[in-house]
Amino acid sequence: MASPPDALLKSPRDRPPENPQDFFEKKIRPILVSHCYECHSSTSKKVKGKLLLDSRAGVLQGGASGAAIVLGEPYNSLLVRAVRYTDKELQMPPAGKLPDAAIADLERWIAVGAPDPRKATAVSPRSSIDLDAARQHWAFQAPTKATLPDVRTETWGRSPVDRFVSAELEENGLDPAPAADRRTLLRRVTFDLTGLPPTPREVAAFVDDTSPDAFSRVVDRLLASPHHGEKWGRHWLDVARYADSSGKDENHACEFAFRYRDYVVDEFNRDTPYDRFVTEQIAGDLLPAATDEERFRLITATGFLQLGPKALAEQDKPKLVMDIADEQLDVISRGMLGLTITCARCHDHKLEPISSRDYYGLAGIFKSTRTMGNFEFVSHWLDRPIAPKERIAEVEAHSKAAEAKKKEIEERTKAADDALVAAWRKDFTSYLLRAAKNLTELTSTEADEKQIDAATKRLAAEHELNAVLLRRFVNLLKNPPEKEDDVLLLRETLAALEAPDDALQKSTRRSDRLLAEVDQAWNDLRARDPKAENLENPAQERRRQIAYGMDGLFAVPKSPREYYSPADRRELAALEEQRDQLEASAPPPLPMAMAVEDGEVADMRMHLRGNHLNLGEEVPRGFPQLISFADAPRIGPTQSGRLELAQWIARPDHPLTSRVMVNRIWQHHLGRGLCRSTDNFGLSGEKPTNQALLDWLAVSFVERDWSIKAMHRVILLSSTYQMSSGYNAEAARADPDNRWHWRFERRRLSAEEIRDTILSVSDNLDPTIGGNLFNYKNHDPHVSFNSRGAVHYDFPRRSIYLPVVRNVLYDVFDLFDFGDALTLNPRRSETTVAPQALYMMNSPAVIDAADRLATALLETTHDDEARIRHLYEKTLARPPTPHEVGRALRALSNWAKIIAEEKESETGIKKTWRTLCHALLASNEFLHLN
Amino acid sequence: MDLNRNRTLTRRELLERTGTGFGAVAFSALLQESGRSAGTPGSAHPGASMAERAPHFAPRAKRIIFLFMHGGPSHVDTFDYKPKLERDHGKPLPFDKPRIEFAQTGNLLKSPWKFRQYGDSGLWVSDLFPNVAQHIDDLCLINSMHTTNVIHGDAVIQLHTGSEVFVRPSMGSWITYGLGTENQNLPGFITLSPSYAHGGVSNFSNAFLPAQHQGTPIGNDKTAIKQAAIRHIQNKVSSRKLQRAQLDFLAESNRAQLETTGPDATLEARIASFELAFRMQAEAPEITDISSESKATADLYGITDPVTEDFGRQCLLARRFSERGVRFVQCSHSYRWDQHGNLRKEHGKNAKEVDKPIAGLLTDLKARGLLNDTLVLWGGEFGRTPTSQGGTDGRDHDPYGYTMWMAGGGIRGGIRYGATDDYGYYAVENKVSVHDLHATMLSLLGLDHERLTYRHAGRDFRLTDVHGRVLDEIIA
Repeated sequence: MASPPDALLKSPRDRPPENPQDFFEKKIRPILVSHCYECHSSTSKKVKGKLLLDSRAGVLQGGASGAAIVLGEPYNSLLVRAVRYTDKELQMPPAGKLPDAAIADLERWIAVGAPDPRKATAVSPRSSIDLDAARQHWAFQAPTKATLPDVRTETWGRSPVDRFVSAELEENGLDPAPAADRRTLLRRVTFDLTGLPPTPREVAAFVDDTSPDAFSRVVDRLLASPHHGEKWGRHWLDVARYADSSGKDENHACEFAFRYRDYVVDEFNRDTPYDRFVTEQIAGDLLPAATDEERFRLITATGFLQLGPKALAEQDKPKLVMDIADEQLDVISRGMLGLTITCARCHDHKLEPISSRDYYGLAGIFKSTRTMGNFEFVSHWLDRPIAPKERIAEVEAHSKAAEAKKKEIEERTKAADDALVAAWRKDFTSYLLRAAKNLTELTSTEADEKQIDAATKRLAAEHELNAVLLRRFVNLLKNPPEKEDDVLLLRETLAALEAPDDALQKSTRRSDRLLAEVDQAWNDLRARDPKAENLENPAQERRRQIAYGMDGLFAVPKSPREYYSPADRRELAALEEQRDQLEASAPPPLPMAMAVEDGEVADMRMHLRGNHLNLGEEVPRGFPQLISFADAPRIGPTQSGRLELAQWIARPDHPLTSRVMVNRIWQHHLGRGLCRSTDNFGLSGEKPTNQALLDWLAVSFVERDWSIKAMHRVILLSSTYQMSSGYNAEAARADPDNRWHWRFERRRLSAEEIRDTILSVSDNLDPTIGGNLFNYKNHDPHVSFNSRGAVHYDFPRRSIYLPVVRNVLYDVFDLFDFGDALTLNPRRSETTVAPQALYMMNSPAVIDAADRLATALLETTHDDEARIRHLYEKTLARPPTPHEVGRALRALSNWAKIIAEEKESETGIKKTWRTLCHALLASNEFLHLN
Repeated sequence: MDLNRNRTLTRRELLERTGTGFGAVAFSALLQESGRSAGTPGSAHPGASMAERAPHFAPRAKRIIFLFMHGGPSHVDTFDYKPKLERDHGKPLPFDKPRIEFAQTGNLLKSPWKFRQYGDSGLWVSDLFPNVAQHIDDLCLINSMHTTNVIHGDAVIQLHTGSEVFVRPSMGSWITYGLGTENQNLPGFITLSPSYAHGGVSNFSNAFLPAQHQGTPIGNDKTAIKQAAIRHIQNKVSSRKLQRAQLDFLAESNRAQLETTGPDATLEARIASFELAFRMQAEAPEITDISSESKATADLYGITDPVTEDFGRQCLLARRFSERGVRFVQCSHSYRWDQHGNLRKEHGKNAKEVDKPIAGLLTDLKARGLLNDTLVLWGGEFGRTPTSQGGTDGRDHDPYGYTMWMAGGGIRGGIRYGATDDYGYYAVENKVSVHDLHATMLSLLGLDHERLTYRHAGRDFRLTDVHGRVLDEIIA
């Protein structure tokens, strides 16, 4: 064992012991055995921090925090820092500090090279993840296109999708349901592609069109509709946890979030290739742009990274930075990769082949990205201007000038305030004397506050004193301090009221001297420590509060201007006029978008157990080892790595990206994904119900240049999609969850569809696309406090344009499973609870729609049966059966009687028809898609 | 019984299963989440029903009333008496302040209120709570609470859900998930006058638990509870008779449709949901209408005094809902306890508003024999520093040590548990985290916090995550 070089032996203490082995056995081993082995040896029940101290190799390799010792350098050794309790976060042994002598022995041991005769060689394993085994998992292998299976059925659909579905059905002994009727199919596809109901005219046209490509043309028409982007953009917004407020603690309004939402709607209408869409959202700002417009669009796209909820008032700012990076990683990994990566923030993932090292490699990319605009007491996120450079320069120059002017005014005001306080302070004794002399007359027993005010004013005018200040002295003497609190000797002054004049004067001068001492002490203290807030001497501090505290004698009044010197007043007025002129000439504000940009680029050190105060080794920015490509781009030292990450995700040969997206498309059409855990394709996710089909779709997706609209056509034109939702007892028994697609999965309309449809069938929907409806300004913190009045939702616009306020979700969203927008929503739940029924029965919005519908019906025709037919076609996209007409007519006459009995002012016929329209809007058939 | 499989049972099977006819079947269907939940398909979700369920072991409490003092009431001015703070008033704190403070604070500030000893236990309570102090022998003061957040939002969310980082179900949701509800005509979890700030709906959200476990808000912190009602509980245009006739038509149409679709538990549940809503419309206003209560009761809760009226009404409603089998009722004294300045005046006012109503609630619960199996929990999201802020009339947030108290429901009364340091800054003895608090609450309800799990996104979740210790020492 090599001894340390002589240069290191700075004191006799550091000299090597005569017998190193003896030294270890006598001094070191007992410490290790009794204080460390319980948690840090091969025989520990649970090894803590991956650190083993029962072998020399273990000590040298160290644990999660790095090497335990640096040979010859006790003060650079983690072990010494730990036993010395140097850092709050790492204090060992945790039960209590070792005796000083033991610490000295450990230091000496390390200083002399840690001689260690132990034979054991156990070291802690670095990571228990077996990547080779994990890579065998279906989702981590590149998808391939299987040959289409041979199927027996010849009567049913022959599209590739149907072949894969048929194969599974046949294998499970199931038959597909018959085709849905044309009205049902049209209603279904119109909602699926646009989120709106078909008009009676569209229904009729499709029913009458017997050409073989009639449905295909309907699909093309719907895909070309600008409302398509609204429906499918909204699906993506669920992934992007889109909201118009920052959520969490402060919940500030995000005035500019809507630009990202409008961008998403537009992308789906344009059918931007999905690989490009992914890249734009992660690194749009780093892509080349031919025009300003294009550049603004690409900056806006990175709103995807910016939209997450943030604890803006978090005072642990390094933690805030890591929480934000974690949130961004979460939405990317679950949203685009179907992986739950963020569990690895605190430890190697327990269920997935993702190590903590992988995590910090990725986290480094986002730490190198600027998401926050500032880290003030309440931090602000970054909004980026989307305007030409000249416009930005103009606004910046102006705001700089305005800022400078504001500062000048503030400084000038402060100087004037200081002058005022100094002047008042100088007159302390004369005010105290005046207040004392006239105290009795001023505050005679009958006098109320108003009378005292008036009397004080008179007196002040008479003696050329400031009335406000005099009034404060009067107050102070009127409510004399308790004896033990009489730090300014005011009771002495009060006692001298009746005494000869000079006694009174003497007393006030004594108070003045005490105050002068405070002034001196305060000046001295602030010279030493400009941030000091309190004097140490409690009596002096109380004196200071009486004089200068917030409600103290010399506190600057609310509008002090009138007490300033004429010169001060003049100067301030002039400055303010300049400021006003500047404000009047302000250029219009810049359009902004919530976005990110590259920040200070750096690799990160691992955070042990997720704690940013407990750092481990540094990890280069990069991508999870699990999925590596020989030709993956390297992240350069000056790049955050966002662009490289986007490119890594958007590769055609990435095993997850295409699968995850086609699975989402399938889910929105067929009810459940082919892999039902849509945001978890990992080892802990579900096995796909039909992997061959999923893989075929994934490969086709890439082959068709990642066109989402192409995938809609592939799926919608299949017989699988066009099946009826009818019931089949045998199939239901064999496959209750419809995993093999023996029928179409009935679904309830989403929150947005319910509201939009109610507006639409009552002819009250404004189809305008895009724009901002949020009535709160950027960073307004009052969204959830509601003190600025309610957020407005009362627009007849499509629901996608209504503000999504986290923590205070809009009624309809909250009731009908919109989700909370705090985190990615992989799939809306579909619940049935009584509050939904209350909404349908009693909400003014539904009643109002029913009223409009009734009015329209009554105007259209006088024939009751025709009205009923019209109503059914409008709300349910089908005519009523004769039976239904009879039932409706009976109900109408029954209700007419009830209404007549109640003799309300409202005209009976309108109310009767409204009651019928209302019932149709609340009906199961209206609320569900068959 | 695996309710998720209900959905595709035949109609006959549905009828055979209960033998009580269509209504009951549909009703049981209503109480489940639709089979299309985001959970693992086919896996049994015991909490998918609101039917009453047996706890893991014999419970001490059947329900909880949580009196939430939003904003952070000062423990050193209420239930954590610190003689040394009084002695060393004005001196600097003799040890380090925490690494993260919300704001800078100055020197030690003694409590402006006098502390006195009460009851047989002789525990100290300040003059802010003279009425609650009369019940001291029923109270367990937990003086060693601590949490991890200095900001309101995160601390409030953590108190309600156990996690400020992740979206998790609130404690009330976990409790109805674990135990169901005793009254099927009412929600199992009601929150009165909740604030929409600081997490808002997250604080009574079911998150990934089935939707029927969501808390039902009545009013909000901007509305007097007197004016508040369950959303859409009233129809403003139709008489009850007309609405009944309309619902009959609706049910008839829906059933006719069901004939064509074949059995579908979701559709049947929706049919039943309208009937339940109709009954709720009748029952809920009956409970919120307190005119049947005597003048003596109104006086007891302070409802006849404008100062205590609002919180008094909340407390009385809590008793009325508890009596009718609601599992978890939260009353909120919303975001008023945040005295960075103006401590004397505002803390004084706040305490006045709640002291009498809370004492009234405890008296009333006791008189009705309800206190034995009703756990009352009092407290805020954190406490306040023993050091002063902005002069000598304010205190900053102190999550490092603060007080909550419990009463009834199997709690040992007249004791204090744990302690802060000499001045009340840090919890130092028998420290109690929010997870420990949750574990203890569940335990009193007969639920093992390690066994009350819900499978979501590939793993089992708990209210207490991987933490939590049941405070056996405070259980009678």
